Amino acid sequence: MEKSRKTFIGLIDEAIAAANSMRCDELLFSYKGILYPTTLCSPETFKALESFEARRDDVILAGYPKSGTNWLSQILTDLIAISQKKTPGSESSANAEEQEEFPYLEVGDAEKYERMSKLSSPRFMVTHLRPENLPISIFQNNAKILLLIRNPKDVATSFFHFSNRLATLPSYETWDDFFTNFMTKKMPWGCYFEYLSEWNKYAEKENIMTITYEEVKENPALSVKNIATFFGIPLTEEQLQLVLERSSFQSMKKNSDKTHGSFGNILFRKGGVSDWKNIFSEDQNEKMDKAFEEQIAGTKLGKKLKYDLYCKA
Amino acid sequence: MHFVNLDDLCSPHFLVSKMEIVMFCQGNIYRGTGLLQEVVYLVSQGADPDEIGLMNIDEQLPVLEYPQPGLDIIKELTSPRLIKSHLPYRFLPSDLHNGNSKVIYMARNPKDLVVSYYQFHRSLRTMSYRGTFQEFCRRFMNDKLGYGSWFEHVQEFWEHHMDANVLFLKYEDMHKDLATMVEQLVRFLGVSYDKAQLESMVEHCHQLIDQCCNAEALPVGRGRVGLWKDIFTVSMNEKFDLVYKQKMGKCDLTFDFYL
Repeated sequence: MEKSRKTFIGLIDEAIAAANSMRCDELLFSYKGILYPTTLCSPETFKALESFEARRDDVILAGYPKSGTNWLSQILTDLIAISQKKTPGSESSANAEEQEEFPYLEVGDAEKYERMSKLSSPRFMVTHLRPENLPISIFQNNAKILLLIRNPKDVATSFFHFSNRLATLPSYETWDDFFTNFMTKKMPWGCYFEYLSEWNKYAEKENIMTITYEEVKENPALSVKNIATFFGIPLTEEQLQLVLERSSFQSMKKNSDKTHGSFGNILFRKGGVSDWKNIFSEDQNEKMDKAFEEQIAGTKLGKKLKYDLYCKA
Repeated sequence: MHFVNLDDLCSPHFLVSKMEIVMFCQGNIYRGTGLLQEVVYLVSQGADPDEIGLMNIDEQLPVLEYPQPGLDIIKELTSPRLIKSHLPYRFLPSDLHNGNSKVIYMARNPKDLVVSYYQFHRSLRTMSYRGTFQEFCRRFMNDKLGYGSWFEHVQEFWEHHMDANVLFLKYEDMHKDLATMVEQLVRFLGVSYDKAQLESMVEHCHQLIDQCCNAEALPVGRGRVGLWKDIFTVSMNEKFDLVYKQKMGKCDLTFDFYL
């Protein structure tokens, strides 16, 4: 097994074990007005993160939870392997000497940034944080960020199932309870709408590329090519096919035991578009439409989401 | 559930005589006819609503097809009789078809109706329906519920909505414009009120509706218009709209699904 995956699985397993012995109201804590899972994040780590030194060649994937960051992580790590003349998936692509870090930037112990400073380039990291809570050096040093967004109805649906399957997040008796929390800023990593509003301020920046979950789903080949171009990674047709094959939902689900451990089953549920129709009531549907219209629809990111296509019945 | 033999209803032994009033409402047995019968009772009798509150109207008015009180007793009631029924038009006593009795039909938008009907099925001890709403709604769309197809039921009556002895009402209109509905009832029933009486009648009816739809004692205010929006998922709604279109395609009857 690749070493980085071992780190990944180990950390998640520990968090789940810790969460199992916690009361529901202990599972989240608030930092600068936003909730985070106690078992994954800590104020000490957030404090340490402030002085994290980003590099120009860091590969950063940003996305609200349940927007498909695990999926795009798979694509990006393969692209990075290719850029280093390694074959994705082969043993040689894992750097045996190096202890890889858990890819989610804000998850882990406060010392992880010190260890990360010794990793060789290009480093890959994922984050669910809002831009104003990221270390300032990311923007100062013009690190490249792939911003991944997904329509709010599928995000909410996925987040609901995820919350109820993963011990580290508070579970909900009913979907109605979850929906109310989702719409009233009570989600871990904060409010979906605020997340998009904040990132929208950065959407025009040259070193940030925005992509939607839905467009990757509809045209994965074009999406992967665009991502590779953005990060300056040349790609042969053969390499492209390999990346596509390895990032299909089926193959990721099949390999999830190895890549994500017991978390795999929790993570890979449906991987589709429009599952929300089976869970949103008409009333909730109207509330979401209204909130989107009022807060996001007119923004650049809002338009990119193609709300009418993916969120209108 | 036991019902009277339909043959008995259609035989000459059972005659609904002139000037009688039969109310129909399929599906939303509990709230739809419940409200309607109270309103009709008020209007027809000029009754004092405080008095109605004391009596239980539900038990006052016999249901044509129920074994209790049964046709023998209904026959003996003094005219004008107020009788309820949920039967389809084609199973009604021929005197109703002939125009000898008055028929008030209340229709309700089928989305609210199916939600209310579901909650009714779950709450009633004799039914104690255990399925999910989704399963229930599927039964509704496939005409697999008691009293048969709602779509046929409502269309059969709608074909007769212009008949002189038929008053076709919509549940939502009662919420939208109660005064007009009370006036319609007054005219149809041939009772006479002066303006002040009419106004106080409307006021009484308003109170009744308020009690029925907003009272917290009632399970989730089943009388509300637009009830379905909290219960129907978006995909269920899409399916429902398709089925509705198929089954009601040529019919020019329309409903308010929300106000």
